[in-house]
Amino acid sequence: MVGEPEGFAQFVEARERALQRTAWLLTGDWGLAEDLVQTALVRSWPRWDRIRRRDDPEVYVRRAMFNTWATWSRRRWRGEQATETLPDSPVLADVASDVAVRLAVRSALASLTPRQRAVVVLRVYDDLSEVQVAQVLGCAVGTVKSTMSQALAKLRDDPRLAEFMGADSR
Amino acid sequence: MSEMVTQLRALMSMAVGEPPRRIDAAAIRRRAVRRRLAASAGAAAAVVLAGSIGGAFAAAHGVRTVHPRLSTTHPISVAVPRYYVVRATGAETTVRAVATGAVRDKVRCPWRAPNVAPGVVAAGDQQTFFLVCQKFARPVGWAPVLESRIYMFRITASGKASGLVLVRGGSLVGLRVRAMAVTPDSSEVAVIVLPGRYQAFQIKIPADVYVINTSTGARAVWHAAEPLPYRIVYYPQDISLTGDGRELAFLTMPQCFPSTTGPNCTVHGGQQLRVASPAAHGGQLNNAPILVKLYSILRLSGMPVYDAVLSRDGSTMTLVIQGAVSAMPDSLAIIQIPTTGNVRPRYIYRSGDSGFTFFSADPSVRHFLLGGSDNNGPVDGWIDHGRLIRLPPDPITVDSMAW
Repeated sequence: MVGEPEGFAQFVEARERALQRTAWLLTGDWGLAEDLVQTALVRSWPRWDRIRRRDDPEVYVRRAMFNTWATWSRRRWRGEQATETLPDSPVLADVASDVAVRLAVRSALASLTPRQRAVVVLRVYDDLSEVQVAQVLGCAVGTVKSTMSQALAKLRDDPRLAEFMGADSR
Repeated sequence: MSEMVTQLRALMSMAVGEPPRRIDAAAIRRRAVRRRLAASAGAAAAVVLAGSIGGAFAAAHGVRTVHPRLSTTHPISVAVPRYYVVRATGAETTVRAVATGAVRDKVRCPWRAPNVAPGVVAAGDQQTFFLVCQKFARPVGWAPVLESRIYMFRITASGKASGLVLVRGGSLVGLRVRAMAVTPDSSEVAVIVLPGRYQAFQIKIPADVYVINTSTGARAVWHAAEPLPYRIVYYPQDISLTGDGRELAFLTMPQCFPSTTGPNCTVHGGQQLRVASPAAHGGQLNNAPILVKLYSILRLSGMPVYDAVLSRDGSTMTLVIQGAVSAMPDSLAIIQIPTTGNVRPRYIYRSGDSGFTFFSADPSVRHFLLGGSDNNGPVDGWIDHGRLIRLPPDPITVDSMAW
């Protein structure tokens, strides 16, 4: 019987939903998001005793998550393509706006490069500082700033997001 | 932060919503341990040794078996499949794109004989499919099946069907195929077979399960018990295989046959899921232990469960149920419950007023095709976040789909 590393279960319990949400923004699919978080946690599990002694173990888990996702993104065989429209389906009026926002955000994020997407998700959605984002992605703070700037410029011109964002913001 | 970033954050929060499933630490631990074991060369050597010993034991005891596989971790894509295969009576079997519904290719039974028609279809992984072709005694009307053959083909990245070949050991003389399940690596195919003179939906007929190793053609048989008076028998209605092909789960309803002169016999309990293991060894279906008493945990009466699919790791099952669940007596529902059984069902889909035609899970058992009908005719499609996304070829009545 293999024991649980100290604090691992508590970390998973506390953070798995937040990690899954971040993973969804990266992958655009709940199944993939769940798989991505699980893979990152599985990779962190053997080293947990070392990881938990750090100031913020979540940085390590997120880093494992982004590295895994970057590897998946490079695999062309997955053959996934973001699409603006789902196959013909009757959409109920009360969920239409939610679905439209979901599709718009997913499509807009899919138009970014993996690194740009990671920076936007961490910086905007997870509200990490530039230093923290640099730690997670293993790059310089300057790289985070420039990548963020390029990503925002791209999103600013994205017609799918335009209808949901006020003119003053652009 | 600029106004744009603020708005972007709000949109992202709105788009994300809540994850449909929770991740628990115990599952992570199990996966991490399996990963560590798989990475260990010593473990691999142990598998080889165990396989050899098992094979020798099986040979010595006259058990029909298949070669042990070293790899049980075939990668399974969890993305929504790109193509689906449609089989409809009187129409050609087609490969269609999920995104557009467009026909990408047609699949014809390569069997050059009269009165041959396609039957059950199932997916191995998202590129490998299996199709049963059946030879009937007569060209029209109901006719006995003289022989069934299982063919395998692949779907290319552009949706073309290629390499249609007869599966080794896939020629089943005098038998009709009711249902088929395939492991994700396509190494094993399991089929429910019954004598060709009976129709597939007749459930009081002894139906065996064949587990065929597609590499060697070796066939293990799970025998149905003979319908002797007052014996309780468990005939399979539907089957599924775990990811490593070790466990064969079958949906069944206990039945009892009285003698012609004696009193009726009584069967206690209703539909249940039983597990035959190891699948590749064969045996008696009546000896397979119960995994879940569906009638008990869902408080079902009659036979409302049309389909039951075990997840690849065997931890959950997906059920298609008509009526009798919860407060929607006439509903058609797809639910998931853990195989431990003591947790509230999770609804994947529910419809207030719908008939049932077919159900099919993708290799990851995450994405589902459902065929049904409402007052306006057939309604076939796939389930996306609780909604049925319709798929062509509406309004043709489709027998089954697979992806």
